[in-house]
Amino acid sequence: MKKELKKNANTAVCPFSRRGFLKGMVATGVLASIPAGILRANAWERIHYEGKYDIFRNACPRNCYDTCSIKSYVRNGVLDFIEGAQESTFTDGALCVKGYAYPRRVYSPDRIKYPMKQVGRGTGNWKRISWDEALTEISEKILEIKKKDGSLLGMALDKYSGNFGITHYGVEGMMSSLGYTSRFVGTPCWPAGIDAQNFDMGNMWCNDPEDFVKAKYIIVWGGNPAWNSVHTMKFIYEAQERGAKLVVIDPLLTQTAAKADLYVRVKTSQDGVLALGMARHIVDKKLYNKEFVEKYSKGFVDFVSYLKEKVSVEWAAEQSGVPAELIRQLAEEYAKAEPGTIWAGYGLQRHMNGGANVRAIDALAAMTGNIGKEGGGVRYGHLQTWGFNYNAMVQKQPEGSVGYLGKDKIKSEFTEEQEGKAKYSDRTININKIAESILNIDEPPIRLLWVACKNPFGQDFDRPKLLKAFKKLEMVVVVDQFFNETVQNADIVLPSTTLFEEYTVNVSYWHYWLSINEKAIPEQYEARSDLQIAAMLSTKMNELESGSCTFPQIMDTKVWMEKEFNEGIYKYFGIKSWQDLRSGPKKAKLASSASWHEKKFATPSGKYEFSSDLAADYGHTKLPEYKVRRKAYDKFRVLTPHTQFGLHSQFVNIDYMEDFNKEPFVYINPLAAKVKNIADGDMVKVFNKVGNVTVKAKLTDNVAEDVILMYEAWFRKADFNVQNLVDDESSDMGSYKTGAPGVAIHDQFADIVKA
Amino acid sequence: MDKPKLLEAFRDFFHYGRKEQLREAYTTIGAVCGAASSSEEIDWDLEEFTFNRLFTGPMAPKAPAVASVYLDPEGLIQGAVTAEIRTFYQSIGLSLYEMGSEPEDSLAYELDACRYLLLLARKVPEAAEAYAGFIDKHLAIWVPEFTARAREHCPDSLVVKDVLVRLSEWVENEAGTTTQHKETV
Amino acid sequence: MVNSKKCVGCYSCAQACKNQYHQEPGVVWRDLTPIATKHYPHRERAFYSLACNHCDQPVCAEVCPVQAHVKREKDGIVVHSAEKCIYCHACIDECPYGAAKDNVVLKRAEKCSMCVERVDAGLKPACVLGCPTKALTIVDLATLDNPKAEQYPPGFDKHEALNPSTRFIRPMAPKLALANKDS
Repeated sequence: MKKELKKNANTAVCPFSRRGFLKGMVATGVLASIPAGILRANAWERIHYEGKYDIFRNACPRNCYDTCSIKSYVRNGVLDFIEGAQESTFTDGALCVKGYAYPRRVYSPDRIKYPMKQVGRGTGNWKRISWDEALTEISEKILEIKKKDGSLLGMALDKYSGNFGITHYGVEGMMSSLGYTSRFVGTPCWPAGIDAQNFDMGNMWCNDPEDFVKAKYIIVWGGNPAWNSVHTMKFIYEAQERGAKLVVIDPLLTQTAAKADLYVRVKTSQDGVLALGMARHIVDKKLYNKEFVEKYSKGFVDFVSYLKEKVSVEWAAEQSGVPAELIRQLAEEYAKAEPGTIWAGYGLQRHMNGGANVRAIDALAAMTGNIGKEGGGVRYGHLQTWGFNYNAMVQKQPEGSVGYLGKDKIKSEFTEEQEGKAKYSDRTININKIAESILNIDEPPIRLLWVACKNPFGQDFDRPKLLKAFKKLEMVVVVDQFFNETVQNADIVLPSTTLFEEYTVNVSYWHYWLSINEKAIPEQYEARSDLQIAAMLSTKMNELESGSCTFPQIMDTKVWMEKEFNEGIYKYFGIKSWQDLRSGPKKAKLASSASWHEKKFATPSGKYEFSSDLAADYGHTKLPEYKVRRKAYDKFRVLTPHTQFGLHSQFVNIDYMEDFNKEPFVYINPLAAKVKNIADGDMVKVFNKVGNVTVKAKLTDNVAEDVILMYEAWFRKADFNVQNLVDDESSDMGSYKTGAPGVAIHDQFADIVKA
Repeated sequence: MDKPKLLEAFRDFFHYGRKEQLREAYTTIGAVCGAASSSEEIDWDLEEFTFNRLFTGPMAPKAPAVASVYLDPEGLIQGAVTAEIRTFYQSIGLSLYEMGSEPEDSLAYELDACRYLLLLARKVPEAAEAYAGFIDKHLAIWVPEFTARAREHCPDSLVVKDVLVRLSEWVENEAGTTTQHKETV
Repeated sequence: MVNSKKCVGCYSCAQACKNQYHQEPGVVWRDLTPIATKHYPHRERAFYSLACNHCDQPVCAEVCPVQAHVKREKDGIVVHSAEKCIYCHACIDECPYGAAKDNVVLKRAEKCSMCVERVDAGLKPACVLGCPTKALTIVDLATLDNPKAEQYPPGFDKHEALNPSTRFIRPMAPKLALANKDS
């Protein structure tokens, strides 16, 4: 059927313009006499059958180390294909399995096209409404809340990292411009490690990843760059070619582990123990760097005492599952390498003792003098390139706004602390305990929830509790591109643009490149950027009640983008204006590829702090001491790291992706499977106190005997969500820099049975 | 039969998709074609919900009203099929208000193009040829499949279902007519 | 050259091809084949990225009744012209590597042509440019001088009559130190 059609379409629908009669019609005014339709009638123009492409520069705004610079090829207003930018030595021409699916994602028939309203939450009965109607309904609710409670604390924002284009902080700005509101703060992602690095060094600041090539010993610890930072792998390979040894320490035999010279399977979340064991051996053998510990650190003597009293290599071996002999070997190899480097992944800090794990690893690097060295360091992340104006984010509350009288401050790892001089502030709530918060918070309760750049039903913890919590909300507004479980539980959904449909600017928390993101194609249907939504809301609010919203009513995303640039950015990247980025991304002008190269730490003492008083202030030990891990509450440990085929709930639903990733699996060790009578390909039920998941099994010894593995993803055609098994237990650290502790995502347990 | 008016009504039905416009368009269709379903029994809310489930969203639409979905090898919107229709519109002096913001081969736009050609044909004979080609070689090929798929998913609807049937019949009749016309010439 | 030592099975090559040519769902020209555990000890941790091998004696060119498959003199690319295809299925049935894909919807065979339009414009094929670890490269067999390059690595079928042009570097497996149990 389709073949026939293709041929017919070619013989096509006669472009009779060759006879040029349309010109004649214009003269006689015939065209003018035809009543206007929904298509625009033009004076006839030459048809351009073939032409060159229009080239645009974009950047992938996803929460990913690699933040690729993209070159987009557009013709006739349509995005045809994309490439990785070759000007960036990091992106170097390549994207990834997700990025290459963008052309398909932009034009997917499944994209949300218009604002829509669900008549009866969860019924699946939706009406199309105009932007004006949508914004009116929302504005009226906002005004109603203000009247009822005397404040806007009943309106809450749930937002995280769905879009890291810098201008998207305008959503937070939108909230501020309405008044003092409730904000879910914190991050489910990396807060424990951030606090750890801040206690130790005063900031989270990693080397330029391109300097991996200079390392002589590389430990990738609790992270999987072969899946989650593919572009860094080439630098690690280069280091190996120059003679470096790659060691991967992880409870799972990941794809990165398969590329290592040595893979060490450690007991989950006992990384701190292992690091302390190594440290003890380094002390015993006097392999520590005398200059560093004496000149640039505080508390080393206390740390050594602690190690001698409380840590032995044998004990560390027992606790971590790594043989004592090997602990000694690793310690010596690492200490002697010039330099040695450690990549501290985010997985190892998603535990109740996660922050402690990172502190112990930091200590290893510090005591061996690897901090501040090119090719060295403990690499976690950085925010050096994020010094924009955050124009869109910083908005004033309207005159007379009433807020929270507590001492809360809005914290975010990405932006400066916003400390207002006003006596009022926003009410902050732990983003990682959204269900519990909605259920329990009162005076006033949360009435209106605005969700942007996040999918709580896809990603958040204790999903069954979240369903209950949503019933309490009076209005739920969700801004998104595709229908997902959160939209399913919304009252109003607003269609958002993709990166190709707006201007913004992007940087990475890993590499040091800056990319412009140009508007390459028009907004699809009635999609609008978060910025534009804020501007439109402001217009509507002020229409209904003058002065009720201070957000600038600017609809041109280019203007927002331009406002982000400042002298600091120009100098740091050696550019004169954002226009310089149209010829390709630019790299920061770094004095050294090493972070902390001047060894001037941002701690209270100005030194690396083995002993941190600040840590004690926040309820932790001063030294990077052993912290016991979470006790298992069921038979198997459940690990739910990221899939390579999606970024949380983005991309897995695209049909291109389904060619390569058709269905979810649970990976079980053959020994465990045998006991449970489970064969490869059987359907299995994974269950615990939180909920359950039914999924197909694959047997592999990539996992330990008592560990089961599922990749966190949300499929279009499968009823699969690992969050049914994850409770909202907190990690140890995170409150200091991000306002709330993280989540012990990998401290979950379950049992399995053949389904 | 006032064909341009009928096309306008079909177009508006699919373009606006809201209760009031659905009702208005349906009334016009009935007036032009004769005897629509009795309007007392119609649950217009249900019709609107059905319309969105089938064609709009926010869930993945069951039967998107875009030719590419049925004609392009991979259902790729803004691919070769859309490009051809865009070229065709340009050749007859039509374009979207914002090129690239929506696919030109959306049903409503194609119906509008038909309407435009019919009106133009009153003055310019070549427009009639273009209209016949557009129906025969394009609409007649995808609309029946589209309406069939849509009808599988609206068991409780009266109006949406009826409009789909009438649209399909109308396209098939037009194709038949134009073929006949060619034979006699 | 498919360097499975560098390859991390990220599927960027496969998706880059789809991004370039927009093949319909179900039609995949380049795909990753996980290397079986008898050849590589860890399940789904080593791959061969495979499309068309642009053989020296391509069977597709031999059996095609309408010369839709033609091996170019200058660079050896076996170019497929899909519009010539009469869907006789000969190449689909005969290619032992499965390089000729059956497009049941368009009713024709399709195959990787090494992005010949890009190559002619001086650009790299989409998969080569799109590989983040540089595991895919274009090599000149006449001057290739890499002792590690193999024609028939374990898990890749030998068809000497065809003399496939793809060369491989084997993946390496890590030394292991495994804690027995997690608890």
